[in-house]
Amino acid sequence: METRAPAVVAVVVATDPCPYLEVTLASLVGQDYGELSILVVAHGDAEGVAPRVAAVAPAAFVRVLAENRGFAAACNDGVLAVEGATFYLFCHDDVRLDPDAVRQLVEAAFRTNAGVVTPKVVAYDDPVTLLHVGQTSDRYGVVRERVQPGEIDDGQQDLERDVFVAPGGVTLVRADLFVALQGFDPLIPALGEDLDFCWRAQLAGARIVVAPAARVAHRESLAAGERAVSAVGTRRASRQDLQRRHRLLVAATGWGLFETVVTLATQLVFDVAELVIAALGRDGDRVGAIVGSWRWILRNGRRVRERRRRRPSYVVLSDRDLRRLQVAGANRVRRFLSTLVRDGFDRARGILPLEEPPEAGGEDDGVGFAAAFAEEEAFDEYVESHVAGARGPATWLTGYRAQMALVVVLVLAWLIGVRNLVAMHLPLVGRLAPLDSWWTTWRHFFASWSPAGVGTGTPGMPGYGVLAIAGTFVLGRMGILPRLALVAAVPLAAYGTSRLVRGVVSNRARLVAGFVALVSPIGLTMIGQGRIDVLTAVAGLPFLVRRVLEVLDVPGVRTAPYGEAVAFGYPGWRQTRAGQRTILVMLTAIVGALAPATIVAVVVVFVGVAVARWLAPDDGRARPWRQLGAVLGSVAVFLLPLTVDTVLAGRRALGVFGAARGPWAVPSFADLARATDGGFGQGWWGWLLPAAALLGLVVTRGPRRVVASRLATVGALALVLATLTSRHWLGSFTPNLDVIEALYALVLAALAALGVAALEEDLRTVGFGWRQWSAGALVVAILALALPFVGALGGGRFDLPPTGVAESMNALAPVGAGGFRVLWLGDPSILPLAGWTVEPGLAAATSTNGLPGGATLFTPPDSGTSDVILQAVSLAVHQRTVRLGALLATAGISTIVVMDAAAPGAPGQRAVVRPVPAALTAALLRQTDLALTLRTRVAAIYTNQDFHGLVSVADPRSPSGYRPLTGSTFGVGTVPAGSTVVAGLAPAGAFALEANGRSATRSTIDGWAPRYTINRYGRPVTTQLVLRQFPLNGVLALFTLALWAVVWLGFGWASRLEQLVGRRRPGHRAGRGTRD
Amino acid sequence: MTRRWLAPVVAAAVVATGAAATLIRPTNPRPSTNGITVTGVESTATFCGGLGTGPGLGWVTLTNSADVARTVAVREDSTIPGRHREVVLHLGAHRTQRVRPAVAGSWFGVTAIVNGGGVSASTVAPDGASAPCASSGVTSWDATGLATTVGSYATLVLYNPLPTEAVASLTAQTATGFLAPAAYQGLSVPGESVLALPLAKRVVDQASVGLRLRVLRGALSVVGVERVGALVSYDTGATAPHTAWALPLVTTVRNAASAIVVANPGPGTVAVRAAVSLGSFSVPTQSVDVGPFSVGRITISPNSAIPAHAYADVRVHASAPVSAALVTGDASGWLVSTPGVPSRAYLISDATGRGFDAVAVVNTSAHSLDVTVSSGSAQVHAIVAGEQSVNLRRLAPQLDHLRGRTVLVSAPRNALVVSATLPTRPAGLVVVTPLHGG
Repeated sequence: METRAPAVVAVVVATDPCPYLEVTLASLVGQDYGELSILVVAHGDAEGVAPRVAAVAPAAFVRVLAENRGFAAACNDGVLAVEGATFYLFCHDDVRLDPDAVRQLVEAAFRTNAGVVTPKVVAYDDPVTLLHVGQTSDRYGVVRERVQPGEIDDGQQDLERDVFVAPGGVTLVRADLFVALQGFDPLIPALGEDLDFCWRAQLAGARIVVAPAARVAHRESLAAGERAVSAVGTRRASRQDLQRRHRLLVAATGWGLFETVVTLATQLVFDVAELVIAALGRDGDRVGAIVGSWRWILRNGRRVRERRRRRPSYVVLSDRDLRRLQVAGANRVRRFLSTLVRDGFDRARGILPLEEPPEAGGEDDGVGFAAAFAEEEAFDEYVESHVAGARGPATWLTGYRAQMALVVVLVLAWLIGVRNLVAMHLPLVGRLAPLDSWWTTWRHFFASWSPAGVGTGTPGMPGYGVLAIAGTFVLGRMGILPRLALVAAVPLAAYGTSRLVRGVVSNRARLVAGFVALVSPIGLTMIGQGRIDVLTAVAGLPFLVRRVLEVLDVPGVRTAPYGEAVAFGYPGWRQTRAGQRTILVMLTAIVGALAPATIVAVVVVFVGVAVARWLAPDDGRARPWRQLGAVLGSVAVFLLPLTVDTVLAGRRALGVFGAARGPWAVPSFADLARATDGGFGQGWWGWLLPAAALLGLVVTRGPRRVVASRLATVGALALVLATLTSRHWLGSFTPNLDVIEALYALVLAALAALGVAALEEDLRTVGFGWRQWSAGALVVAILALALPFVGALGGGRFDLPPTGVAESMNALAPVGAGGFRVLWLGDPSILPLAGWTVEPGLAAATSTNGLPGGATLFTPPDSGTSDVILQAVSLAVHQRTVRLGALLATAGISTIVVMDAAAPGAPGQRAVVRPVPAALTAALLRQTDLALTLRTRVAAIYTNQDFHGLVSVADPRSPSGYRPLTGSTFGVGTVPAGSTVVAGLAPAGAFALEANGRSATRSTIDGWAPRYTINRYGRPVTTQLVLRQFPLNGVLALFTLALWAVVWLGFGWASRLEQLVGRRRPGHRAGRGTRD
Repeated sequence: MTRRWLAPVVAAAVVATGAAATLIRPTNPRPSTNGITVTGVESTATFCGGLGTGPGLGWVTLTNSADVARTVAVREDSTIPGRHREVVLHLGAHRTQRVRPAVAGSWFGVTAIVNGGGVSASTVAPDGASAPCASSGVTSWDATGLATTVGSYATLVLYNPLPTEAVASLTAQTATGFLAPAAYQGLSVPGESVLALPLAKRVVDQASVGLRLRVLRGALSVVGVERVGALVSYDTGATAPHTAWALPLVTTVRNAASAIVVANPGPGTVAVRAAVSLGSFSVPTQSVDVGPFSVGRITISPNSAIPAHAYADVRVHASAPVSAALVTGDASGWLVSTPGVPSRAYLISDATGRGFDAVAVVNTSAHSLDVTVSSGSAQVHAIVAGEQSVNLRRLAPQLDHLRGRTVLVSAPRNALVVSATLPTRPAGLVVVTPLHGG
């Protein structure tokens, strides 16, 4: 029995001029496949074709068509002349087949039961360069190569597999399939007929397979522009025109009704976008092609409807199944966005050409804008393939020079923005009260008594210690420190944010992180409000968060392993786990000393990571709660004076983290979500930051997703905490809202940077979809963030007012009083000094002898005896007294200042108004012994009619029974013998009154104020109050300072000191001291 | 727990918190302007104005409703700045004491500072009209009902009991329109002194005058004093105009006249309707349109549509906030009184020692109100139906005519209005609005 191979008819379409026809025919003739017939279809000016065919392939049939109606029509016509063939092999006239190509194709067809088989196509002049191994397509008919431009054929693609499109050149088609599909569509004369046919073949359920064993060289003279498209009806159309209109035709007829609507609608959106960008790039050809494609499809509406009517006759696959065979997303949009991000907008829109045109494309379309939108897939590996090391726009912000340039620009912009903060007078707002001298600041730290409230003997706040140490570095010029905080805190935060994401993202993304942190509203707002305590937290939090993430082993954060165990005090200890944790503790302690709510922020980070780890475990081994306990315990020791104060504070202990603001004056949830608090970021653009972060979060994939999820959880926790505390839903726990907001803003900046990193790396591995849209929106949001920032630069001070409400009150000093106190009442966030909470929205603080100064920067959480003031104010607010002046007189309060805003709010200034409880205003108007001396829109001053001095002498002639002891604050003066002296200073036991060198007898008045009775000596006596307090606070401060110094020595300085004194211990490494 | 729970849990926490914070947006709570229901106070003060020289101008009655004696520091101020007189009184438990100013001047104010709570005070005219003393100054004040026609003397007495100098401006609404006399703009009232404004000097020959006082600085105790012949009455006004007023004791008896005067301080015409309930009679709603910055009057008696009977319960509803006053009188003259405003508490004190003819308790809300009536250790709870007026005698029969008593009527909501009339002939001529919580 004779077995014959299936008959194959090679249909070679020869279009004049066809210089490579002989080569094509010769390669066909030389095939080792016996059942191959050759049919040459010559169209157009084809007079000389027959002799040329006869010379090379005498057995070939030649069919001459009168006019050139295109490749598709020629193939259809040729097939009509063929009978009994099993396969058709459609060939261009510029191909060269390997001798076994047809056999391999047929074998593959039988092996895979494929309807269409395509060979491996290599370059005609360079057969080791791959052109095609089949193609894929998206839903819009934009094809994508499966090989890279210029990819060398090293056998890496030699795997028989399904593809979506068999590119034209040489295509083996099963004859019955060809008949079923009614051949090629003559409406597509060239450039697209292969896509159309394969699409329909897929719909008909036929497999399309690439057979790499079959190798064909293809000149692609038409696509390369070596010859023009000359078919009838295409004379005035460019290749771009043809490609677009045919692609649109396929998309318009290749889907069911619903998918067609969706596809065409989105296609229209893409085309409009491309049209706009092309118009911007003055790319007239592209504009014409886009418009022309739609016009063409509308003009051929009848043919389109015909195709759609015919569609059900062959469709086997559903639209859903068809989509599975395609690549997801939109190839050309993906390419555009990638080009935009990597090479900038100019290249994406077509102004700047690619340095090397992609070989595979070969068309003009492959340049510039086309590089982004044309279907030739040449971009994804663009950077890696042939732009590596390229300069200029191709490495948009990826090169060191570009990044440094941006940094310089940002630094210059920042200097412009803060130019008026460098030398101008600093107003008395926020925490900008003038600092005391370096020496006095040290004394505050060691002091046994501080004047806060009515005076307290609690340990000195460690914030003074930190300030004094900082003052040492500026050679005692303490005035520099607040300016430094105003000018440098936000840039430091930007740098810290950049470091926060180091190792997780690229340098470019780090730059973005720094930029976003720089323009973040909370930092700018805090500058405008003079809140240097919060600014300290803003600057310190990025470093703290990084440390916490490292300590908690969040995957991907720590880039280098911990150092090997080194003894404490020796170089290298810093790199150990213990050393790193100690740095975290010290940083927390330092920043926490200035802004205690920072400690809460650190706890939030720990808790956030723990929660995230609980819900979504990662590889981290550190135990969050144990680490948190260790850190908090250590911080408590490092801040021992503050810890003691807090323990002593009892029910007010939680007040150490911040005073309660008025719920009516706190930011709304929308403001909190925008990380703003009454200053910058309150417009619609304030949503750009959270939007960028959210987009960053959703597009992040892979390992960065772990970091992003941890940060997002921390941010969400911070937002929730800020919201709860702002509404006082956590009771008396009201950590400084702005510090928590700073943490939230930091997380937003980091997430935005992670989003950029995702754009660079992660999105390349996924198909087009919502992530690409999100990425585009992310880029837009980040760029738009710069606009309000630039707008804020003009003032040169970020809205810091030139003067504060407090300093404009120049008549606070009562006449004839030696010493006096001013009681400041207002929302804790606008008072120019630290105080205690009377009730939500109302804090009280005192200053001695006038305006607040360096001694009232920090207030211990324990109000102690100062409760007498708070209780008196509370009584008035609740309408339980009309004699507030009398109640405050013992404390030496001469004046009450009620503030609704920190700054007067003159025209052109942005005044943040946070009104006191309305009950307070009404209550003060009921007091029979308070006189309203001054009332402005944002402040009121009441004079105490019962004031009788901070230190007073009993005087029956005075209405109040006392008169001020003039001289000085601390009771230096002359009084009659036998007088009674009352001092508004607490604690009573801390002071003694020396009368002519002898101590006077002491009792108390009103239960707290010392009253001294002077013996009758018969003549006036000179008195002086003397502080007699055991210096326990000094000892505590000294211990704390020593602890800090010891730990500082641990970072290698002990060893260095030993070297200095020549007592270096041998063998200090591993085995002693702290291990990991 | 698996990885997919993280995002939903975190998102749910944020959304829930955000939703709660957005829905529950606290506001800066407005203070009560009166501390009459406050217990456990350390000191209170009460400010009495409207005291003048000459016949018919009265005194201050201090009433200690507490169970313990109080020390009251009384300071008398006058129209002569700097001229004061201070007296310290010891007021026994449940005792009453009169204070007649003895300081030089033509008009006086009295400040009583008490070392605790429970002491109330009223300015009392010889014929029984009284005005409760205020426990705080006001910064805005609206009133109407005063007349400047021939034979009537209307004086606005501004008392500044605090050390702070006060500055205020006065405008008037009259039948002929808006008036802002230059002399009454930027009025300065020195601390602890009295300023009396004879209205007829600047607002000439008006049967009804609406007044609006705005205190630009400080706070004032304000009383309008109307003297017609020997009759003296006090117009205590209100801190703001209202759209609804309750007047439960409007006399309709023979030989008595009564009318409701409304003043419109706004720029639009206001439609005012008065629903009159009078025993079993069906009385049509009375109405009047009041032009911008003008005054209007609804006559209740004599009125051909309203039979002469006992007390009518009148509810005034206006399309925009207005001031209202009740004017009552007979052949000898007329008296003006200010209706009460919905409050949580009213303190009724028998300042004249003559007791009351009737005391009405009104629930101005649509829902029933749990009312507590307390006097000394006695306490009665009762439910007053929505929109109803009840005689206090029905609520607490044991209190009889309240002679010599101080009674606190309180409710959990700002829906209480209490009005009282003194025993007069014809009945209902002297209407007293007790001290209320504002």
